Amino acid sequence: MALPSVKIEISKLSKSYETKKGVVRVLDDVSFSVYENEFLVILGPGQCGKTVLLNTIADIEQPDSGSVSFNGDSSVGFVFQRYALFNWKTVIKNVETPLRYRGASAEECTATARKYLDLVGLKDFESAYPAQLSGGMKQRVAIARAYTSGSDTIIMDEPFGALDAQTRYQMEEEVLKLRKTEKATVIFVTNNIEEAIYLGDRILLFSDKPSHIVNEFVPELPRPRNRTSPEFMALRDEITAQMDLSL
Amino acid sequence: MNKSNRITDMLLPVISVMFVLALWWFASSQNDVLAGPVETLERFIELIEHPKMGIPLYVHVLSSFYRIMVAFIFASVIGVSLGVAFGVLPTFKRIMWPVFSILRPLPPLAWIPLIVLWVGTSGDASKIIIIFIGIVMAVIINTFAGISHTDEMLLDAGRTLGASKWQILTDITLPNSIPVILAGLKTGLSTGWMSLVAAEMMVVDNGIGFLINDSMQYYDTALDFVGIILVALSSSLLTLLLNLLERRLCPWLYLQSK
Repeated sequence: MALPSVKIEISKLSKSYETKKGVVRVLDDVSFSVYENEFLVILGPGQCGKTVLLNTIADIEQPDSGSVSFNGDSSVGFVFQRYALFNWKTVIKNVETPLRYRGASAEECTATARKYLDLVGLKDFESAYPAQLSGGMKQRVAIARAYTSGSDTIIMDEPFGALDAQTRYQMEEEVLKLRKTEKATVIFVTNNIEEAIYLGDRILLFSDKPSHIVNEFVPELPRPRNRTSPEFMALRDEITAQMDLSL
Repeated sequence: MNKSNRITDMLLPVISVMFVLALWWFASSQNDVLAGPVETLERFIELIEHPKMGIPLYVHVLSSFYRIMVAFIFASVIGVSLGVAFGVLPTFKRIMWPVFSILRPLPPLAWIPLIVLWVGTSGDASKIIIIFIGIVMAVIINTFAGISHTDEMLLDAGRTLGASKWQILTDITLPNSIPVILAGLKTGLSTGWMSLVAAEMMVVDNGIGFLINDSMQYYDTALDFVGIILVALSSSLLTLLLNLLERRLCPWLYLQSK
């Protein structure tokens, strides 16, 4: 297999915040590469600054030091934990948004939005409003919207954190299904070890604040992965042990 | 909702209004000065048959309506524009906010002498300006609140989706603020009615406030009640129109919960 090419180079990122209790260092000299079309999972405990890392990659926040450089298109499709849907727009208008911002024609907007709504199984809900949808459906809309933007990179920030276990499993399948049809580099953040192993081509384990990379795992498990296979459980044990150590 | 619930829902407002009417009727029967519901209705019919000083009743109502509508339209446009400017232009806010904060709590009526000196008593201008002052403050403050309290996450979403600053304003911040802006328009409208009646009482020629003022001169409490009921009906009508507008503009607020 040829060496994968680098899509994003994250180099020596550091970031601190001033709080009432003093200065809190959130990111501590974080460096890693994201490869073209990989599914990279960033795994870490609760409040470990993963969101800050993602916001920095997405250019929503600026680091104190360090840099993020993209090979090619630097736009990202971002999926937020709390959906971030526009409540005043119907489902299809939400999904069209990035195209409309770019000034695409009405026909192109509708056609592309329909395509992605179909891919996430929501084509019958295009004229519903977000308030009428369940949490899982809202997140499907948000994922469709992120893909509609046409960015090479999709970032998902604990996207299924607010969903119940069963919906979470369905959504994980949904995301893997999209991987088959849509070429994109995916950075997926979670605090759920099982989810990380089930989804990731590669897993970066982060420590608690100040966050740094503890270890990297590459699950050599055939897909679809079996959550109860001995290999899966073994990797899960291994990561759990290291996650606990880093707390 | 089951059937008996629906009937109760329809009956309760009727019962409460009937109760107030009964209380009013009882109070007036104990008192020679206070007109009751029946006298008020008779006075109303009399006013239609024999207009006061030759001005038909509908002219009073329509002049009040005209003044409040003109003031309302100006206050909406100017209030929303200023609220947006406060929300998106930090320097403008730094310069103008202190001025606005001083002016905002002043009662609109305090301006009456000044405005009368400036535009005179005749015509509608003086009243419209006073009503405008009454409405515009609530519109400014609500628009500003709506714009500046937009969820940061929605703005981040807009940025990652490629929105320009202008698109963030017109496609995210403003539509997201419409319910709060409409609430400001409603609050403004009730202050507007207060200012209207007061302005028409002080700068007298016609209008519902003129009728109320007239009732005071002649201890004509029935006429006062006619005026009160006309204000209540007119302001309910305008509020109803605003609610219909809200249904049009914000269908997502009126969804059937699933």
